[in-house]
Amino acid sequence: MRKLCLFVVATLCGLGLSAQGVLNVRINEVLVRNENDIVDDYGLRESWVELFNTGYERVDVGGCYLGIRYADRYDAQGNKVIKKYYIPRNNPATSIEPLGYRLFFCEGTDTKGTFYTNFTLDEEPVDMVILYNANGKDVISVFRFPEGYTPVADVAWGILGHEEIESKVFPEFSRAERRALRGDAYLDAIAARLKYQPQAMKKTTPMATNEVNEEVPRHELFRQRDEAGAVMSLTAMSVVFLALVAIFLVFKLIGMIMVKRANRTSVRQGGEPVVGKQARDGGYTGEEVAAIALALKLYQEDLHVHESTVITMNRVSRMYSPWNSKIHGMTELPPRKK
Amino acid sequence: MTMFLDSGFGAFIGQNLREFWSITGFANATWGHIVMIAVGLFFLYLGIKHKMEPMLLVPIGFGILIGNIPFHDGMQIGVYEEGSVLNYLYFGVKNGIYPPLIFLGIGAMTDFSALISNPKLMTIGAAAQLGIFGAYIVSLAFGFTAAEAGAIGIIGGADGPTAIFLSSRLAPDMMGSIAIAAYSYMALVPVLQPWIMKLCTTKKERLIRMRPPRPISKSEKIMFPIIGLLLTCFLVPSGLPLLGMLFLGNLLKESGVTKRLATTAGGPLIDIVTILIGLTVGASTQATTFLTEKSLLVFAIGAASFIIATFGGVLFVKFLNLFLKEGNKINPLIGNAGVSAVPDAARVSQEIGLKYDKNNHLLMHAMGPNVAGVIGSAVAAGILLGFLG
Repeated sequence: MRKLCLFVVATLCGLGLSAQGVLNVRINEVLVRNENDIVDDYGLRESWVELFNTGYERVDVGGCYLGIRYADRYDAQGNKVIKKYYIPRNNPATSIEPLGYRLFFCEGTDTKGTFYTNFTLDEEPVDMVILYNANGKDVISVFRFPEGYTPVADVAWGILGHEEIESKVFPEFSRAERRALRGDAYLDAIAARLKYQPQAMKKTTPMATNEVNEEVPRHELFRQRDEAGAVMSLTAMSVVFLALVAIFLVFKLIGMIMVKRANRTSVRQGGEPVVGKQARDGGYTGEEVAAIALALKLYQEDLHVHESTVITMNRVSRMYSPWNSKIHGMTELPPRKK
Repeated sequence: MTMFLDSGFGAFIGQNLREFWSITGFANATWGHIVMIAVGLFFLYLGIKHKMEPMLLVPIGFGILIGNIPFHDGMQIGVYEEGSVLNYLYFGVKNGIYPPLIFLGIGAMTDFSALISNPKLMTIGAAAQLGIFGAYIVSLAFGFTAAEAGAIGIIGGADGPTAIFLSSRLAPDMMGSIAIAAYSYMALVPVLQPWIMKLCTTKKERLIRMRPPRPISKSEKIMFPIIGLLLTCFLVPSGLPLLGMLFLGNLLKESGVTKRLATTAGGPLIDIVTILIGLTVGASTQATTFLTEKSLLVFAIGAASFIIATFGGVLFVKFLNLFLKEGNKINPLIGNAGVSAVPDAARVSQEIGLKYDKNNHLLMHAMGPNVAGVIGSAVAAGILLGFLG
């Protein structure tokens, strides 16, 4: 009897855990128009829906229903038409690991495999994607596109801003509310009360978290701090000056040492200080000295007092090499038959 | 004839000819290609006829022609098509390999004596970098990103390799227009600078005779690249690729024991790299990527940066003269040479100086700020790269 009780308790706990597990799954990201995004296993670009297991235990979504609500199609009761896709059971791949993701391609047939839904997102306007429990009635997660939403190619919509367990943020309804809300009203009420609403994402993140840290380039960060560029200019000019003034000071010092050394050497040898004296005396500048020297050289080259009268005839000799031998370059005449 | 064309064989030939026509340049030409070819021809005209920076404008001009021959995509011939020969050559530009090699050659060819003998000229080279940061502010005001603004600003440094190096890192998409603007304005230094020099100086200032430079010992010449490297690169390590190669080239030259290396660096090596850089930069100006509103803005801001730089250099000399004794004063006509366009800017100083005094040769004095400008623009590029890269 005691064993039986334990078994019953354990079974109930297990069922509870399982139910709780499915509630942790949420529709995390949806891409309606896929033109340049990821391809499916058939190499085609299809719309996709991403599920995210927000919990810390493995969850099997096999047996649940993934549905869409058409924006402009109504049933006899005046509710918007919902089309559901039954996620097959007994496929280990439908089990989502803790904090894991699963993609469903919405390509319109349910013959390609577990992860290909029987509905499409881009053929007819769709305003909501819904995940139902195994009974096909209880809602686990809804994902409502905003009013007047128009699909843009390769722009996904996703839930941003939290990694909390969905069940914690799933809206709670009183019994009276639950009884009063039927069909579209109930779904819209859930969507309206969700803490985090879908947002257009800067880039798609299939099978990955939507929390993308946008890396702001360094230059942009710099610009944000210095919009006009004045700080940058002042800093940079100061550094340029600093670098060149440092060289100036060092070489000023070296120059002074060199001049002193040259003058000391000259004085020690019995002469006068040499460096810088010309300029102080107002004597010839280096340019003038160079001009005089050049003029003298040209003058001397121009003097032809004693012309050489010797005629030298050198024999031009060519070094022999088989490579330049003419005889080897000639084609031998074919021997004539006698 | 009609029968021939109607026959199967004739139709086959006709179809072949039509297909061939579709891959010819005539079929793929757009007005953009024609405009760019005209620009290329204009560069060739400037380089060959007026000898304006022919070493640069001729390969760049011809490169523009090569880059703007219209072709069908996918033939692996364009500079941006992976696997094409031009793309391989362009690798050196895209990854900033050629500019340091050119700096090696520049170092091996440059004589820093004028600067060493009168090191205060160094500060003029720093002042003229005002153009870079002036253009940076203007570019930001026009809505460019900070990285793009930095790349555009470097045009004011008047140094082609530095401009290519920095733009390849900060704004690779705009490198073609920045390089072309930098080289164009370097070629136009004799047009852009004289009026500013005259505007900012009085006749008395233009007649200032500067003290002749003192003779420089060999040890000073050897010390310069070593100390220069240590001081500048410790301060701005990001300028290392350019400054390191510049000072290495100079040490090869001045050490006196590596003549062959210096000759190669300052001769065949720089010639080869100049051909490659000119050709590929020219070819990178394909009409489809080059003829944009942004490129026009780059050209306009580039001109402004040259003008600001020249004003900065000349006015700084005037400012410096306030503190210098009579006899030690600097002729403000060499202030323009602070922009590094070597040696064109120094040549402009010499020509303007001779106009007012036929015996006042400013060339050697102007070479001081001119080579200081090379160091200054490389340091400025390093700073921009450090902050924005």
